[in-house]
Amino acid sequence: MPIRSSDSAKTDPVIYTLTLQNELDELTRLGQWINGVAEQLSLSDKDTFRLDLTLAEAVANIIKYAYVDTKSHQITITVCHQPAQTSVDIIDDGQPFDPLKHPKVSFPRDLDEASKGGLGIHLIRTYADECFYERNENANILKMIFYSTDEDNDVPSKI
Amino acid sequence: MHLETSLLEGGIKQIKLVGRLDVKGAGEIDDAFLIQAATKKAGVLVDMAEVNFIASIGVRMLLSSAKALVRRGGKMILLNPTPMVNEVLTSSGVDELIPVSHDFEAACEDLKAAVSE
Repeated sequence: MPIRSSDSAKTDPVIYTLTLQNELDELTRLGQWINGVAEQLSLSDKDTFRLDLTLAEAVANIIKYAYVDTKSHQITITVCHQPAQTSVDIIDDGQPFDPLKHPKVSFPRDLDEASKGGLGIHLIRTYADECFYERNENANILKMIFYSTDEDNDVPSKI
Repeated sequence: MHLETSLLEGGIKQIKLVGRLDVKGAGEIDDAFLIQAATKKAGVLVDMAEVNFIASIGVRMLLSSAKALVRRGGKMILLNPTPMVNEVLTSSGVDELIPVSHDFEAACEDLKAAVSE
C-alpha cells in the first residue's frame, strides 16, 4: 500500500514497504511485489529490471548468509519513489555485513575459474547508481539509489 | 521456469529456457539443464529468448553446465538473450566464456564445426 505524506504535492515521495521472512521461498514474493510496485509507478522496463535484480541479489545474500541461528527473522524492504530517483532500503537483523566492502569480483579468465562467488554483490554495484551501508544497533541497513532512466538511456552506471 | 529440448540438424541439441532464471527458476531446472546440456560431447544451443530475468544463480547455472560440456569436448552458445538479460551476461563476464549469438544459422554452423574437430 503506497503512502503519500500529502496528496496535494505532486513531488512527494511514494513509499512502499514489504516485510519478508528469512526463507528462500520468500524471494518469489519479493519478485512479484517489486514488479507490482514498478507497474504502479509506471517505471520503465529497464528500471524495473534493475530493482528486481538488485533486490533479488541483496535479499538472497541476507537469507543465505546473514543468520547464524535457525530462528525466524524479518527482512524489511522500503521503496521510496520520487520522479528523478527511486531508493530502496533493506533492513535485516543478521550478522554485521557490509557488502560494499566485499572485494570486487575479478572476471574469470576461463570456465575453470568461473564458479567463484561474489557475483551477486558485483551485480548490485553495477546496477545501482549509489549504494550505502550502515550498521545501526543490531541492524544492517543497505540503501540503494537508482536514478530514473528512460528506455533510450538505459546503461547502468558503475560505482 | 521450464526447458524444452530438441535435436537439430547436424546433431546440435537446442535447449529452450522459458521463464525467470532466479533462485526458484534455477532450482526448478538446474538438474535437468545439466543432464541435457553437459552429459556428453555435443554442440548445445541454449535459446534464451524467453528468459525474461536472470540473477547470479542463473549465471552460475549456465557457467557450470558450460564448464562440464567443454570438458567433454562440446561447446555451448547462448542464443538471442533479451537486451536486459544480455546486459547481465555482459556485466558478469559470461559473454567472454560462453559465446552469445543473435544469429541462429551462424550459431549452428559454429557448433557443427566445433564438435567435428
